[in-house]
Amino acid sequence: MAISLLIAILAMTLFGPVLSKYDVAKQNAADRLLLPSKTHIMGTDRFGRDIFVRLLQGGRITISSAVTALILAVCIGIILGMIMGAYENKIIDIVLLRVMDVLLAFPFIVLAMLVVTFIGTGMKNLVLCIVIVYWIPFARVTRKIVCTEKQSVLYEAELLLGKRPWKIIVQAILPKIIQIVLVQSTFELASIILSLSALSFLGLGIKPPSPEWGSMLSDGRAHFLMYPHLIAGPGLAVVILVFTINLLGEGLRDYFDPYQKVELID
Amino acid sequence: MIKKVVGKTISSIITIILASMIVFGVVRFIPGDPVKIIIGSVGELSSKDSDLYNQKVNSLREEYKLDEPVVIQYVAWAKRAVSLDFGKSMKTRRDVKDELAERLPATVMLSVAGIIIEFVLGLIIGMLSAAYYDKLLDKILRLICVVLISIPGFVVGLMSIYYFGVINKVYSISVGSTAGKLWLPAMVLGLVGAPKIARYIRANILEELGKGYIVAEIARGYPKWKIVKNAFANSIPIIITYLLYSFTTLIGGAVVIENVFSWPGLGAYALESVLNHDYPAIQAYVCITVLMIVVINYINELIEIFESCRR
Repeated sequence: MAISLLIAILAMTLFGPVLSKYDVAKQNAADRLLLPSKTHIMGTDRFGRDIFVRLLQGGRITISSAVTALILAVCIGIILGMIMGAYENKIIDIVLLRVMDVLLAFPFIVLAMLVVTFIGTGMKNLVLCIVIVYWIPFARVTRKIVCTEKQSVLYEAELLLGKRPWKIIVQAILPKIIQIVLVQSTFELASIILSLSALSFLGLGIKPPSPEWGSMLSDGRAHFLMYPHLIAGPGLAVVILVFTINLLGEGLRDYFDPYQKVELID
Repeated sequence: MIKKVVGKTISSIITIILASMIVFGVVRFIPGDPVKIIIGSVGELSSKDSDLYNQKVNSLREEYKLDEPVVIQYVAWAKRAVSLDFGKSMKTRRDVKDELAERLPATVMLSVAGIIIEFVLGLIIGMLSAAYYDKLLDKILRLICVVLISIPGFVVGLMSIYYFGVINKVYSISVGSTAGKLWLPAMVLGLVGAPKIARYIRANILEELGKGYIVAEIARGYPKWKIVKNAFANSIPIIITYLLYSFTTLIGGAVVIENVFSWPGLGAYALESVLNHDYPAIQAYVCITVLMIVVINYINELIEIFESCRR
């Protein structure tokens, strides 16, 4: 069920803006702040733009930047995690652990504010913020798996057969890592989308003219007491997307290991 | 044990020092002359060639030791930071320390109320969920938790403002932080955090329920609620650790909620400072949150060490 919902959302965001007769950015003063009706399914915003079309367009931006951030974070996390696991208790491991500790000492939003202070607002910078924080859980899990697997008989046997440690890690341990990280990454994706929209809502993300769910919400704030549909649409969109991804994660977790709990670091 | 405690102490201190270096570095290496950034666009100093301007630049250069190596600059900054002197806000020209102190009570009020609600809700849901493990109630509660986790805090906040403020008119929508207005933001903060605590408590009680002494209690014919109560009592230390940990996540969440409710706390102040490029204020806020988090984590680690030694 979760998968079909997700496919539906993706298809809508991909094809929706192309098929619609309304323009994303064109302002139309006559149709300002219309309530939901047949012509505008979710009504219009304060510039007379159709909210539904903007939602679909915004979905593209939100989803694509969240997925980009996730892929980068997973790659960095797995690679650094494997390095840390391979050189357990060596200098590089200790240094990276220390880096993690320091980064974890900042609450995510505070770190994001710091990064924005340094390099300015914008979607690319937000993705960077997210990558800086979200590689940590992946690296931790990977490191833990490598460290445990190194104790196993299989590893010792391969070592005795004269294989290089790195080869064993990539050939034998990496598949296990990917399986666990896959489940973890769905939950992290949900949390990334939440963080992204929260940051854009606070005004740290992309600037209003281009549609993004968080910034649409903060844009609608000025008038929402009179026109609640301004926040109902984008709010609902975030909730549905994140809920779907979370369901998918629960499903994947049950599928891959029905008995064991995957450790998640929030 | 003492060795472990000392180790943790040292590593916490190192973390604080490294984090403060980042905080210092971010502002120090912003492109542009730091002195000109600090002076900013203050009225009387706007003409850049005036004697007054040059005088001010030179005196600030002296004060921040900008002609010395970066390390010495950092040490000078850190020395002042330790005595909570983060300089003057670039926007209001007042001491950042005073501004933060003004905002602190609102934030403390909100987070304490929020965490109490969060914890009570999480406890009830988690205990019920564990007691009725795999029954209908458990499944419903778990679904509710997934739904709650999927809703961003600011959406809950905006919806609740609309519902309680516009439809029911029981919440007055205005700027300010009076105790009478506390209940709504605190409730939202609690609602957003509760599912995570509920899940955690459920998992821990279930783990505890799998242990041998529980089997013995079942064999003795104890009533169900008593068994769950005993299992809960034994997982209290872990739950306290988590409670402290959730304070750290609350700091981030509070930034958003304070913004939604126009609650004049530290989080809202920090956001304003970021949007105004008010560097001393940002430095001060980040330093204080980092310090709080490191201290909380340190306490948590101490609890863990004591627990592991007791067993």
